[in-house]
Formats: sequence, structure tokens, C-alpha cells
Amino acid sequence: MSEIPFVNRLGDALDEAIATPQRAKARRPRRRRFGGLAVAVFLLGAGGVTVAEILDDPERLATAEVACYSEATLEPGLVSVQSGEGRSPTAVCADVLRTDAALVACARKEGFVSVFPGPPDTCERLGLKPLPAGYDDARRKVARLRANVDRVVRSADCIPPEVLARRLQRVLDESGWRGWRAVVDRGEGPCGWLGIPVGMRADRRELGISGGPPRSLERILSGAGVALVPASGERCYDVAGLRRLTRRRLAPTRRRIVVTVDAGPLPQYEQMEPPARQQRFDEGCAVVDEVYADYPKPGRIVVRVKIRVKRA
Amino acid sequence: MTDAELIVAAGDDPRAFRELYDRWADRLLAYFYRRVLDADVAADLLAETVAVAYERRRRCRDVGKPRAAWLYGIAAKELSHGVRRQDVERRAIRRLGIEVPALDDESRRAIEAFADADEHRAALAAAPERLAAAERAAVELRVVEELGCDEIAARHACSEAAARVRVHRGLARLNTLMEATP
Repeated sequence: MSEIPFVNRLGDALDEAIATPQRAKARRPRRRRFGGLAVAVFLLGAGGVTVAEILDDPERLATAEVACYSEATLEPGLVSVQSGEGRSPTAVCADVLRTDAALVACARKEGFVSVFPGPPDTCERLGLKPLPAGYDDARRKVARLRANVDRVVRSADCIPPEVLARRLQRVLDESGWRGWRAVVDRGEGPCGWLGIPVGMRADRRELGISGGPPRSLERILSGAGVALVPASGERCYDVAGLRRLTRRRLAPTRRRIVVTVDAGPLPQYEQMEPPARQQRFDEGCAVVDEVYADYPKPGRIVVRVKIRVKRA
Repeated sequence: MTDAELIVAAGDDPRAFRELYDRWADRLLAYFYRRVLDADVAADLLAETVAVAYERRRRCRDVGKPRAAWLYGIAAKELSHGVRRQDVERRAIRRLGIEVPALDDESRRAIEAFADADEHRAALAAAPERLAAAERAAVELRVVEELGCDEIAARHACSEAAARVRVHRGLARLNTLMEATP
């Protein structure tokens, strides 16, 4: 925690932005995330809520993420973090850890669920509480909400965020999510996007809907768009050749393709992935840096492609 | 975890990035504030720097130096853009959809205190005195009076190229002096 309130609020805003993967970008975070992660960095927004309230709030825990530990210890570095997605935490972690061993799920006061290998008393031995009564019901409720939200979101190629918010408010009201609101909170694109549970803010009882591209464009960008980046390093392209490749690969978007060329060395301390692409760049070839949807003015969507080359 | 480990972890897990942010945000904010002496501009520069760093977290490579240098490299570039355009770029903020919070008075005071603003203002005020007279005069005309190099040349009875060199050298020297103040 910083002593500068702005720094903490900006950090929370960053968390919130990161937690909502609605942007159609070539380099999107993978859904399954691994990494040596200090558990203390879980920042699932305990502000204003007491520890007892979190530990006894099955709905809140059911919308939180699940940390899978490979050993029955709270040491950082032995954990991977999964989106619960309405599944049983032990089933999620059995898949992740690829184990048939007995697993036990515990509630964390920070507002998430941890799963450890071990006997049923593992939570107590680690000084943690078991999941509260009603957790499984809450989890199934989240799973139903997820299915209902997906059905609404996928019912059209593009639903304006405000319209989507109204439709999802009806879903909330009709499926027992009393006190919850569907709110439009940010984003540039013309179409509403929401993923469950990442768009659920249990501490505020909100579904956060953001703007993004139409679903059809998102599909192309996350397929052909993502593939274009490593493909640009498969052989040595000059800028003109890469422009042609870009236009050919992204033609199915039926959008205006705006290509910009950034000439100059890569910033110090940075490298490209995959290594073959870095090698091409070092050899003087042009490579694709990123591909994303952009919205230069209301009602207009373009696909931007950034090409990077050492020398123009 | 070290900065390097956090950056590697942040490639696949954004939460590790938050720990990196918590570790460095105050210092980056102070870095910006000491250079622009405007808390609002410094806050915007921090937000864009953090957004750019998040987008580029998988590109960070080991060059045998502390990984914080990577963050400061991005910060320096954003500062340079901001100074050149007299405006903070917000493209990465928009791309990530970060709702940058408003800067409140408490934060302004905390930033000034953290950056030792008074001490730094004194250092900044004293720095021009350490420039050569011709360079100091050229910098003052360019920065304070916002004159073009042709007008500076006319006032100093020198060529436009010479005026430009004096301004450039003066600013570079000022930058070096201020860099020496952490």
C-alpha cells in the first residue's frame, strides 16, 4: 500500500482494466495463467468489508479466483491462479495440477479460494477456514449466471453496452441476484462485452460491462490477428511485403486496415517473441508488432497494425 | 520475489504486475514530479507508463541490469514525449481501458512530500546558475519567453544555428544536473 492515495486507486483501476479481457488485441492474456506468484498480491478488493464477512460470504467466494497449490504450504511460488468459472475448485485444480491426489479447498480472508493437496483438516493446519456452507450452491448459481450471460452476449454480433446492461439486469433480476446491478463502466468499442466471473465485482454487487469490438471482428483478431504476429517472423519481409501479408490475412475483417511503421531499434530492455521474430528484426526485416481494433470516432472501427523495422 | 521474477510472472499472470506496480509506482511518480513539478501531469505520466509497461511486460529482456531500468526506460520515453508535445499521451491507457482516478489534494500533498518537492524546487532554481551565461540566457528565452531560435539569434547577435546549439546544450546540461538529483 502506498501512502499516496492516488497510487492505490490507480493500481485498483489497473487491476480492474486487466481483469476484463474485452479488448481485441493480438497479445491477449491466456485464460489459464501460471506463474510463481506471492499470494499476498491477490487484490480482490477487500476494502470496506470485514474478514468475517468475506469468509462467510459464499457468493463472494464463488465469484473469486482459485489458487491451486502443489504442496500444502502457503509459501509463494507454489501456486497457479485459475478463474473459478463456476466449477468446483478442487476439480479445477485437479486439472491444473494433473493429480488424482485428495485436494481440499479453503477460504482466504483476502476473498479467494485456495486448494491444497492433503487430508480434510489441511485448512485448519494451515490456519485457514474451510469453505462456508452454501459455497457449492453459490458456485452453481454463478455457473447458471455465466450460462445465461453467455447466451445473451452471444445472441448478436454486437449489442451496444447500454442495451446489454439492460438485458443483463433482467437476467440478474430473474435469476435471484438480488441487489446486483449491470453497469456500463468503460471501454471504447461500440459493443458490450462481459465475461463471468471476471466481470463480476462481488464487493460492489456489480456486473461491469465494457465496450469492445463486434464478436465477429474479435474472433478474427484473436485468430488471424494473433497468428499474424509470429507469422511475420517466419521469413524476411520488407515493409511492402508485410503490408501485403497483413492485408491478405486480415481481409476477412472487412474493415479498413491502418498500417503504421515504427522505424528504429527496439527499446532497450525489450525483446520480441517468438525468438525467430526477434532474429528477423535484428537482421533488418520488418515484423508485425501488434494488431488491434481501434475506434477513431463514434461508429467507426478500424484495424490497426503496427509494423516495426530497424531502419526505414 | 525479485523484480525480474515478477516481470516474468506478470507475463502470464497480471497480478504479479500489480506487485511490481506497488513496488515502483511511488518512485516513478516522484521521478515524474521532480521533472515536471506538476502533480497532475506526473500522475498522468505514471498512468500511461504503467499501461505501456503492462502491454510490453512480455518483451522485457535480461540485459544484466536491474529490471527497474526497464520501467525507467519507459518512463523516460513517456516523459520525453510529454515534454515534446506538451501533452501526455494516453493511448495505452485507452487501449487497456484504465479509468485513471482523479488526483485529490491529499495525494498532491503526499506526492510533493514524497518527492521532496521543496528541496527539488531549490535544486531546479539553482541549476540554471550552473550553466554558462550564454546557454542560460538562450534557455530562458526559449523556455520562459517561448521565443523561436531565429528570435534568440537576433537578440544575441549570433546565427540561428548557434542559438539552437546553445539552447540544446543548455537543456542537456540542465537535464544532467537534474538527473544528478535523485
